[in-house]
Amino acid sequence: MEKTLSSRQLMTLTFVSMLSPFLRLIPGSVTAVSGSAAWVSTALAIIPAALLSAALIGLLNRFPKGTGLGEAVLRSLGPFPGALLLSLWTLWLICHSAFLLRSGADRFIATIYPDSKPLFFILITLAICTVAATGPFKALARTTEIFRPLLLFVILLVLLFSLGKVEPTFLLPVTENQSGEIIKGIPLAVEPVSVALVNAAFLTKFLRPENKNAHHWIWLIAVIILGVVFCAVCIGCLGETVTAALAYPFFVMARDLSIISGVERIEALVVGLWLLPDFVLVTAELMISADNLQMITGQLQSKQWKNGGILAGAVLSGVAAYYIAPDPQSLLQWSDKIIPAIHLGWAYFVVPVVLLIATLRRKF
Amino acid sequence: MKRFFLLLIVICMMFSTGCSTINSLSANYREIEQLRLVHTIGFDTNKDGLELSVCAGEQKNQGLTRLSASGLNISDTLATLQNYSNKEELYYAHTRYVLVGEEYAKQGLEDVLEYLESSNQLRSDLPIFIVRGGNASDLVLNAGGKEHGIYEVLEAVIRDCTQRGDSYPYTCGDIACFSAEYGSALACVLTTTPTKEIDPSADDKDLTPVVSGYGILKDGKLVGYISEDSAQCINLLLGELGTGDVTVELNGQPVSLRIKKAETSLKPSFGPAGTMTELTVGLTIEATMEEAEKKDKQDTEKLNYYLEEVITGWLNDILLAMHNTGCDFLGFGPQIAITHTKQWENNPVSWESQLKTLPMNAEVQCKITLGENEQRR
Repeated sequence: MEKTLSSRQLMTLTFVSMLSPFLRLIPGSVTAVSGSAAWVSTALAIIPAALLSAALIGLLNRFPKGTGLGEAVLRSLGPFPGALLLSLWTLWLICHSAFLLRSGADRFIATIYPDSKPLFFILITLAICTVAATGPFKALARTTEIFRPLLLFVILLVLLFSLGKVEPTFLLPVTENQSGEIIKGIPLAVEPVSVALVNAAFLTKFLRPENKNAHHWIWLIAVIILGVVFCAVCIGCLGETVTAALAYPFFVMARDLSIISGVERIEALVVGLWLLPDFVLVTAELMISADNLQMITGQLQSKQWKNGGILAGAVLSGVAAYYIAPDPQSLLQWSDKIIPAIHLGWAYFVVPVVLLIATLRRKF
Repeated sequence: MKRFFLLLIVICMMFSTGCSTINSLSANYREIEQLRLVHTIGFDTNKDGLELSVCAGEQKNQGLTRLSASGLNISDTLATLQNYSNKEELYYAHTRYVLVGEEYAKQGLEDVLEYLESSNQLRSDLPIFIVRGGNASDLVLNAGGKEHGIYEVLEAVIRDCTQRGDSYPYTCGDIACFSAEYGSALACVLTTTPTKEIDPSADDKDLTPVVSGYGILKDGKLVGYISEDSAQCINLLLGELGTGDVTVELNGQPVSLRIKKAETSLKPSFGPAGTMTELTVGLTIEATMEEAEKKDKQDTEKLNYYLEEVITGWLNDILLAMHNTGCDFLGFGPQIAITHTKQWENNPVSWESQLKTLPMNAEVQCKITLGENEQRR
């Protein structure tokens, strides 16, 4: 087992992989629910995100350092129930990676290649991810260290040049009457962070033993601040109605960006860059799935089991991606309802239950 | 095996770049010479439904192409235009301006805005102009003469009016956003003038666009206009100052004043039932004397009075237009909602229904000083 990852690298990987669901749901889907106060929903998402963080840290701290979520589930619930739950979780991760492949393809179709078929984009992304997943985990982590400044630069560039167009009246006032909408928007706002945190918990097993959780909280605060600014700038520029109506508001902002009247039409580059978070997240989920399979079958040291698991996961993922959401309407349904609901179920129901069982078993 | 797999992927990706000349899955590569870069599109209504006119190409490289076609909807008409231009491909990704005829604007711009928002090629920040009392095709097909397209003429016109501060080229995106949030929006208005009137050497057919204030759009439909003078006041209300002067007469002599600072204030009054009973729109202005005889001997108090009178007249015109059309195109309502949140929430009458009856007052205060150069003397 390679335990070569620093906590900083893990957080970088988690950040880059989070950008994929982040741009899918924030601000468009959150604004469709919370209206102009979507940025408040995103700010308040720090509460459930911090609770999930605390639960995951609490669970992992009950086991020796370097224990990942998969192993923690197996050891908390016992061999059979643990293996059953972990198998279901693994299937879910494959299903999620299938959805990511499909939604990544849709992003290309909606923004650059109209009337194209998704299969081509799915196959290419899947092929790249499968090759990367069979490699060492450290390589993926180091790749994200290169991706992160690039992606952050693009986000900040678009936000910075859009800042002048922000209309305060599109964002304010936020009143008590909106509290219901704000609360309804929190689950969607917290979903990207939850995906990232749960995956990070699975990947904790790759951490070097001397690492601590210090970066964890800074990461969480930074991500939420980015989310709030991102949401506020998009709504402030486009207004809540247009933001909610557009599939990818950020890419529309990038399309309209003109840098000192010299550089424009950079949206193809920006959309292209968003292949990187998809690549990282799908690769990480394929790796986690294969690792879970190895743990369930007890073949932890077998390279054949690892590669076989990755290939099987990739095939399942590719087939599911082809059949999932055949049209944009059903994709929206998957994106805004089905995927967040299941993800939040795993994060906010299964994780606390496993923590509770782990605590009770330790006590009695 | 892994290396072979990697090589296979790299080869696959070479076919997927979209720049491949062979028949790749997403090939859209074309030589630049094959493309006709459309820079201006005009939308009009006619008996067939829609008339589209385009002006493409630049004189330096390709010469100009001006086309017009009719159809049932935008896609249908664009396809017809492409058939007319069978030698080249019309390429819309570099479109700079959108012009809309008055009749088309009266019927509503939703189709245009939706098309632009959903189009992968066109940007949504294209400035949109309403051609007052005419068709967009008049300008698209005839402005600029044989050597220049409307694109070049509009470039100059927009630069001038933005510098002067008497207009602002609102974009399709602006109009879509403001219409969605405020229920109304403004669009820059052009009128057409025969070029021969100012340039005797020009062709009889040549037309020149002249910026003439703003058009008021309610739910995407043109419902009224704001004159060129009042348009300057709109820019003052928005804090968008230009270098254009305001000329007032004092003792029979013209005095040019340049506005250096403008601050807007909204003072709503609420009745005991919580209903808004009055709105005072305040404008505080600081101006300097730019052109006048014996600047230091001018009666600044009188000048203040005259400038206040001029600007109050403009502001009253704007408030009257808001009354008549029921449009809050400057977003006064949302601004009051921020500054008077509690009262705004408790107001039992909706802002939209109040707009047509609410008494609105203009309150202008001016302060005129000598120009900077004059003070140094």
